Amino acid sequence: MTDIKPKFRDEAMSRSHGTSLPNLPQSQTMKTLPVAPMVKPSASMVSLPKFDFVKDDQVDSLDPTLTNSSKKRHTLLQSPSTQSIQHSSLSLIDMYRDQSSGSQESDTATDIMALNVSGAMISEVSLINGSQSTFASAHDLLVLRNSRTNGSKVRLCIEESRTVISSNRDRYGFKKATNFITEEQYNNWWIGYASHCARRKRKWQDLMIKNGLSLNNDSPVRFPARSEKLKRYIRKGIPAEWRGNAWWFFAKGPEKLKNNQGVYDTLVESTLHLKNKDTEIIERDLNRTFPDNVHFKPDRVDSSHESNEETALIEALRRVLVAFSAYNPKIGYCQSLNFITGLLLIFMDEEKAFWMLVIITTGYLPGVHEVSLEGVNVDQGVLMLALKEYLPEAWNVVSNIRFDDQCSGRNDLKNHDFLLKLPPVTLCTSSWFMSAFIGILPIETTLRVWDCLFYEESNILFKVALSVFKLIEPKIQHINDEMEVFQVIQNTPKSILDPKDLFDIMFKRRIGFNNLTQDEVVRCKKYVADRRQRAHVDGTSDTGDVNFNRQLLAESLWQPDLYGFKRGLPGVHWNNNLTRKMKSKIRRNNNHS
Amino acid sequence: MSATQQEPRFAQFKLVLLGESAVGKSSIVHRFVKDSFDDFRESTIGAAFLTQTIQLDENTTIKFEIWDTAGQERYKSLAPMYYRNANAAVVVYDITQEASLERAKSWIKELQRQANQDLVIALAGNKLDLESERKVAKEAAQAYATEEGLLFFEVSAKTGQGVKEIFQSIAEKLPLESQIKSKSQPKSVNLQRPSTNNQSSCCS
Ligand SMILES: Nc1nc2c(ncn2[C@@H]2O[C@H](COP(=O)(O)OP(=O)(O)OP(=O)(O)O)[C@@H](O)[C@H]2O)c(=O)[nH]1
Ligand SMILES: [Mg+2]
Repeated sequence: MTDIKPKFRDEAMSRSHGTSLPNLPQSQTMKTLPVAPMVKPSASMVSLPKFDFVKDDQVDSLDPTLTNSSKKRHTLLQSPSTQSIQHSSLSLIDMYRDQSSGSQESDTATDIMALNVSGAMISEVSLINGSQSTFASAHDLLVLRNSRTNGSKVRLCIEESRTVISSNRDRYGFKKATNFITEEQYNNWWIGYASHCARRKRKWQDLMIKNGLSLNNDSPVRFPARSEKLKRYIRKGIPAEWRGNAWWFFAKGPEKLKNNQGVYDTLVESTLHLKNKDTEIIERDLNRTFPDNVHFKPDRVDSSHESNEETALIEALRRVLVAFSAYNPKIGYCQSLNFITGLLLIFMDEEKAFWMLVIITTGYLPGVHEVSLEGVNVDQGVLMLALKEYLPEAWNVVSNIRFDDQCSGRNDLKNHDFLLKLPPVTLCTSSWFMSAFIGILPIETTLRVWDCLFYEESNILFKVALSVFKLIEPKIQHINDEMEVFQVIQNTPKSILDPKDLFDIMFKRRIGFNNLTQDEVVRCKKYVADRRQRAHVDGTSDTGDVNFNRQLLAESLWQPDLYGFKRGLPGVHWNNNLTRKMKSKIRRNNNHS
Repeated sequence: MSATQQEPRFAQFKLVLLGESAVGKSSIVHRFVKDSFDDFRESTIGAAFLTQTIQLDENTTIKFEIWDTAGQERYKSLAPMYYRNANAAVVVYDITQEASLERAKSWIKELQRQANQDLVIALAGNKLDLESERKVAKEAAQAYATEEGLLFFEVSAKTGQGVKEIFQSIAEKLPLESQIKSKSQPKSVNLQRPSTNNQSSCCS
């Protein structure tokens, strides 16, 4: 597995442009967007006969000026059959109905047109690939193209305010009710939140126009330059139907893709039949990814047939995860990547989802998913330091929970030994960062966190964690039973249905989490990693991580130039104390060695 | 423990579930805690914490505090945190997957080496309802369990067969008296019956 990667890269460089996905901005092709919400993946659609396409000659009806890649764009957005709408009693019309559905009426022709294109594209692509690829047969590729086409329309279902009170699902296709939130609670919150969304959307539109940016038929691909104002806008939420594009833009996806044209396609084709330990675990996880989301597990109208048929998103999820496992053998596959990828796929097509996954696992959550999971431990160490600094009362409660009687609490705290043997509270919190809060916070709140994450940096995740603890703090003050504390810590975030409850804490100046800058987080990470590494070398750590790799820390986790706080600490108020301790600690350590 | 004792007794025990991914750890816990089963359940990230209280006999109530861990190999490095302080461990394998028994055995080795001396360990072969796809003979697993001094069960989270029995047997084997005596803090032992059933506060 390890040696495949360079091969992919080389191949990708020398490949023709014929099969690579188009560059992002294809504004004229987005005209058909408003149709899309009528098309909802459903049981019947997923099971469409694979080769049931309208004849090639109908492609003539297309605008001849469309480029090859923009045609492809059409297919990516529009493939599903119009028949499925009639057949499915669960069509989008039921699920996302709202007042303005009139605008969708005249679009059937466009839809059929798009369908034609997809037929044409598939045969075209298969010709190109059939002669080139050594990895997959022409037939494989036909199936593959078809499946990829199906996967890309889901995000078009997300339309502002289209969640109806009568539906048991939200606008993303998740069940509204969870173990912690009832459908009624959801609806009560949604009534207010929907108008928040509508208001924010108008503000965003104004902002875009003022900045001379195209709304691109409600699917803008370029966003304003960074500014305090934009940051504020993002913190109040990106319009749901713009999210995929906005995340992609702010996380610098376009640059990544530009440097890697065609790489994803090659990876997919070459891993089509890959079988190894990673793919085995991926297979086991596919059906265990968002089973409460209609795009992953549809409501079966007629359960007697096709019940084993995979949804388009599950197929896309498999391709992205398998391709990623080959692309980054240091990570391979790690449970939790399925959720990250799954959420991305609801908002963007699979090639972008793939590159976002690459960006997230290296830029935003470095080391977290690697085999040793040392990145998880480091993040937990940083969280513990931050907790101690910002929420001493909460820290007081959780740091007093200890499992080993031999641990003498106070001394341990002074030396930061808790960084080596992480406090039991991290049993609850270690999953928070692995999934970037998917499954920890309710979905809308998670999405709002992600909005900030991609515009800002990974310190947002720590601010979120602190804010959750801020909500937890008063609840655990007087609990004696440590397990009850755990239960509160585990359950509290799951009921933060209204993002406002979290964001008010996170960004209120008075509370002061704003001082936790990325710079500080990076420095703390360095400190914790260093501390753990030394302990590991000394053999004093009991983490039991046999796979622990010194190089891991040296190379990939933290930028070495930030080592040792040489830059000074501009604008840092919160942890002078901590910083002093760290400095003297490092000095002492250096003197020893 | 003496059955003649009239005073109601209440004890809490920490239990951890270990075993390869997708063998059905979460499904077993949910069967035990909520008496329900989903064909599609989210795979576990990190670990989930749940509690369930059972009535061992007329006088004795036992509360299990359960850590349901993630099964993927790489999560192994996080596992010591979960079993460090446990009173009991249920190591699960899938009777239709031979390799999962090997994983279970290596977990058991690690527990015997690293965990509490008096940890009660149960080996549980899950998916008994898939008898036709069985790859692991009951006798072989049973023999191994006997040799290692483990409790042994074959269960189905799907039908519920045998699931309660695991926890029941563990509760009977746990040193209830010593737990009540040795732990003096009220947080570990509460001699009153719990006023509420913790089932409702369980996580997903
Ligand atoms: N037929 C059958 N299927 C089961 C049974 N128990 C679990 N499953 C299925 O096996 C799969 C995995 O179950 P989980 O409970 O998620 O497995 P897990 O051990 O918690 O897996 P991780 O969280 O990844 O460690 C699910 O699809 C379940 O539906 C069972 O008793 N019979
Ligand atoms: Mg599980």
